[in-house]
Formats: sequence, structure tokens, C-alpha cells
Amino acid sequence: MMNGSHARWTDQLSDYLDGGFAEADRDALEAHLAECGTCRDVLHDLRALVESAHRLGDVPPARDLWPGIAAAIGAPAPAARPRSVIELPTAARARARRGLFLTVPQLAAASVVLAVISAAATVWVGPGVATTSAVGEKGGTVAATTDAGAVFPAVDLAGPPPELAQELRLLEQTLAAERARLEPNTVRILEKNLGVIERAIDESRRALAIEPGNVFLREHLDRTYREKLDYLREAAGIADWTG
Amino acid sequence: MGTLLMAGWLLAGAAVPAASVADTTVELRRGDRVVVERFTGELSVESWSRSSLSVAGDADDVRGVAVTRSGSEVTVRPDDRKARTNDVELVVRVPAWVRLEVSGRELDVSVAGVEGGVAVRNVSGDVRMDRVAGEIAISTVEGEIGVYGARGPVTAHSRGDDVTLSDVTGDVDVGTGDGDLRLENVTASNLRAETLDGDVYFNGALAPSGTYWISVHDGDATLILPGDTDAHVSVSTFDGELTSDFPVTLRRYQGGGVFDFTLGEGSAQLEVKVFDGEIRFRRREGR
Amino acid sequence: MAADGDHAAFERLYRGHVGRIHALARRMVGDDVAEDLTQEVFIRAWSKLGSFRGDARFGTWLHRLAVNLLLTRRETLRKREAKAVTADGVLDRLVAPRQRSPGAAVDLEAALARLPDGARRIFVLYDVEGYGHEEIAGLVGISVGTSKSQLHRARMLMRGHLNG
Repeated sequence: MMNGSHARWTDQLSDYLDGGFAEADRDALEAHLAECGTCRDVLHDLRALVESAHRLGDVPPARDLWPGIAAAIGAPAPAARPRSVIELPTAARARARRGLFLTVPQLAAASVVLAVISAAATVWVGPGVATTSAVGEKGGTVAATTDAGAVFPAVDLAGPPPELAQELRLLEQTLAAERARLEPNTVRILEKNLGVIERAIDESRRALAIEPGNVFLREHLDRTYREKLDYLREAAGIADWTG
Repeated sequence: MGTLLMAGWLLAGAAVPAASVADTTVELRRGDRVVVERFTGELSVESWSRSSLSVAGDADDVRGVAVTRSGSEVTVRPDDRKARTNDVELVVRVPAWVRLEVSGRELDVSVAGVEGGVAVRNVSGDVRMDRVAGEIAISTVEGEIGVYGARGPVTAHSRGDDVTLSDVTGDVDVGTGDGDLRLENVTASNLRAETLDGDVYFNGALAPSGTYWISVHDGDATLILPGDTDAHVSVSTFDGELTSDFPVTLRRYQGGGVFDFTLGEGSAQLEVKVFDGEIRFRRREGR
Repeated sequence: MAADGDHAAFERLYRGHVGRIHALARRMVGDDVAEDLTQEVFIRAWSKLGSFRGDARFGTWLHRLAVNLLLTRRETLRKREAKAVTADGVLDRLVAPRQRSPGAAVDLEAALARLPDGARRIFVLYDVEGYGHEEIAGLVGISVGTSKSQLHRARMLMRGHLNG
């Protein structure tokens, strides 16, 4: 506790700390501080306190408040957060939104000059490989053959390529743990962009479920998983270099 | 000068008055690297003819800046003892020959005239470069990237915004998650362009024996090429539509939307992969 | 974007700013009513979006709206004064903030909760949120001199709490 004689000096310390001091007053105060350890201690404590206060961070609420806000502003009821469970389509092949123009069986033969299409022509290419496939249960594997008889390796339609799966899992866990260290705006940005990648993965998986034998789709899905891996690696590092 | 008056100057877009330019100048030597880190707000880096570094801006902002040298690395960062976590607007001037590295969290960055290589990394904020050279590397999670006039390999990746390269000579590696890629007058022997949700627009030329790889998940790929282009083109798509000004002779059809064709003598290698979107080859008039 | 009545865009704004607004509410008014008041801030912000002209950062506008709301909730403040807020209550729901020495932050929040209302308000607005004395005087309805002396009193009390 401060006794009366120091109070006349310590009462000025906040103003001094905040830079709102006229020079003449500052000289007098600094002259006193040079001689008085007690007042110097107070100044030191105040400065440390102010710096700590500057660095106090955001505190997210313990529960998600959005549903209550949404109800009050007339927003549609928020859907539950999507889980990564893919509903496999039925065995019936979905039709391409764009029509199929080139007749696929006619083109199935390899390494032959197939057609010359004149300038400004439009070629529509859609899901066209005729396959026989057995679509498994959720998380099951599917083997498929093309008309040409090649057998494609079984595709685990529920998950990423095995060589990426472990690191993806680890990174997802790391990010969940580091979330609290990140600025809320950073978290918002990271989640939004992760959503873009997840949607692309989802669409690719659905397409692959329609055409399990499609080499392009296999490569595309693998590439999109790698994109997710790169992204999670980058996100996991952000907490470190943004400090 | 009071802070309110200073703010007025900045809002009016006037040049910062001389009274507010900091005395923070540091002599630089050839081979020095300049690192600017941990600021939030707006940062401009410009080259000038002196061989020193200077930091200018609002008096309060500049007061909160610390410049230190360690060997050949000169670092510009907030002074923890003085700086609040407020947005700053700073102009840093450096000689053209330095190598520049910038990092920050929410930071808009513009760089002009730096020729020793530039690396910029932030979480959000737009990044713009003009007339730069050396190895150029830009990484942002949410922010637009624009590179106008560059000599040197350019790597530019955003996650959630557009990337534009214009008048660039050198190998190119660009990508974004949710945004468009625009490549105009890009002369590269090796090019990689990848976006998930967005379009790729390429208007340039393919070097003989160059390799070009474009991937789009949900969006269009448009390539505008000279009439005498020599390239072997491989197109892969799941649900796509190909339109071409060039005659397309299919050489190989793997099924499922993968096919090859050749333009001219076929010396460059071009791969275009679009999961769901249009692929357009247009012939550019003239050269 | 959100000004067009886009609920999805407003949700994104909510997610980006809720941490800051909730922290402000906790420190200004107390943990027990912070969640309710945070919701109120965003509901009010939605209804006032038309007055946001986009000439300043959204966060600044939202923050100012929050401060105004929190300051005028006298009933809530009085209710809070009647309760005995212990240091334990604050610690239970504290999410680890970014600090060099984690212990310091926890102590700081606890000490803050023990300040009398007027002193705590000024300390939060000036030292935590970075408002100036002129702004605080205008917001709270006191003179600049009172703001300065209240701030000093708050800091000295905090120092006393922290030094044990």
C-alpha cells in the first residue's frame, strides 16, 4: 500500500506511462524516480501490467451462440456440421448433366486415329466408360472392370490413399489442438478454405463411386487428397510463424 | 503534428509530410537480405537509388518500428516495448538489389522494383508486385495476388482468392483453392496452374519443348494460343466440354474422358485436367 | 455482402468476431451474462447493418456497437454486482489466451473480475481494447480527467491484486 508521500508521485505515473505529460513535469518526475526505488517499482509494475493487458486475447464462448442468433434474425436453422460420411449412390449410373456426344464404345480401342473434328466443333465428353461394378456398403471396397476387361485395383471409396491417411489424421488432430492458439479470424479463414477442398474431395469420391474404373478420377481424387495434405501442413505451421 | 491531422493526411491520400518520415535509416550492403515481419495493416516496399533502407509513415506507426541488423540480414519489425497491436501503414524503401522477405498475419503488401528476389507470406491480405525480378514466392491463405512484370521463377499460391500474372518471364507455379488464375503474356518453359473452384485463363505462348500442366476441379480452362503453336495436348475430364478453334485429331482415347491430340508439330507438352467445366482452345490472331 | 441480408455471410462475420466480442463482454460485465450479451450484440448488429457504410472496418464498427450496448446495460451490471464473483468462477471457463507466461493471463483475468465496475470498465476500454480517454469520456459520459484518474485507480488496484 502506498503511503501519502509517495502518492503525489505515483498518482502521476499513469499519465507518464501513457505519454500525456508536459516536459517540465516529466523532468521533475524523472528526477524523483532516479532517487526513489519504491516509485520505480510501481512504475515497473504498471508498465508490465499495461503490456500484459495489451496482449489479452480473444475468448470464444464455451458454446456456439449462432443458433440463438440465427433464430432471432430469421436465418434458416443451421444444419448440423457435415460429417465425412459419404452416401454411396445406387448402382444405377447417374447421367451426365451434359449430354454424351461421342459414342464411347466406338472409341474404346486404343492408339488409333479416331476422328478428325473440324474447327470450332464441340466435343462433349462425359462419364462414358461402361463398367460393371458392385457398389459396396459405406466404407466398403469396390472392384471394377471396364469393357476392355482390364481389372482396376480395389478402391477404398471411404478414405484417402493409404500412404497419406496417417499424416492427414495426425495433421487434423494437430490443428484441432492448436485452434485455441490461433486468432479467430485465422481459424475462420482456414476452415472456409478447408471446406472448398473437402467439397472437391466429396464430389470426386461421388464421381468415382459412379465410375470406379475411371483412371482420371482416381488420379484427380488422389491429387485432391494431396492438396488437403499440403493445406493442413501449411495450416499447422501458421500457428508457429504468425506467433 | 497531432494524430487527427495526420490521419487526415493519410485519408486524403496525400504524400506523408516530411515531418513524419522517420529517421530510421540503415545503410545496406550488397548481398543484404531485408526481412519485414509481424506487422498488421498495409506495407509498401519500393526501391530507390540510395543504398540504405528507410521506413516512413505516420509518426505513431514509425515510432513503433524496430530495425536491427544481424550479419547480412536487416530486420524490420514492431518494437514490442512501444507498439500496440494496431494496424500500421508503412512505406519501406530499399535498393533494388536486395532480397526481400515479408511475413505477417493480416497484411496487405505491395512491392515495386525489387530485383534480388522477393518472398511474401501472410494469412490474409492482398499481395501485389510490380517490376520485380529474382526468385518470386508468394503465399497467402486469403488474399488476391497480382504480379505485373516479373523476371524470374514465380511461385504464387492463394487458398481463397484470385491469382493474376501479367508480363512474366520465367517458370511459373500458381495455384488457388477458391479463385481464378489469370495468366497473360506469360513466357515460361515450365508452368503449373491449379485451382479447385475457379477458372484458369491463359493467354500466351508455349515454348518449344516446354511442359505445361493445368488442373481445375470445378471451373473452366481457357487457353488462347498463337496459330502456329506446336504442342502435344492431353485432356482429361469427368464432366467436361471441349471447344477448339484448332482442328482436333484424337490420337488416343482412354475412356472416361481422357484423350490426346496434337497441335502443329507437337513439341511442347500440355496437360489440361478439368473435373467439371469447359475446356476452350482459342486461336490468337496475329502473334 | 452481409448488408444484402445474406445470413450465411453474417454467420461468417459472427464466427470471425465472436471471440473478441465475447472477451469484451466477459471483462466489462462478467462471465455469467457474457454469452447472453454477446448474442444481443450480434442480433443488434444484424438489425443495424443498414447503417454500416463500409467506410471503416467491420470489426471496428461492431466493437463500438458492442461497447455501447454493454455500457447501457445498467440492470445487468447491477445484477452482477450483487453476485459474489470469485476468482474460481472466472478460471473455470477461461480459454487459454495467447500469452508468453500463461499463468500471468489467468491472474490478470481474475484480478480484473475483482475490480469495481467503474474502474474495470475504464481499464478494459483503455488498456485492453485501446480506446483513448476522449473516446471513453464520450462513451461513458464522464470527463477526460475522470477517465484518467479512474484508469490510474484501476491500474493500482490491479497491481495490488496481482502482487497478492
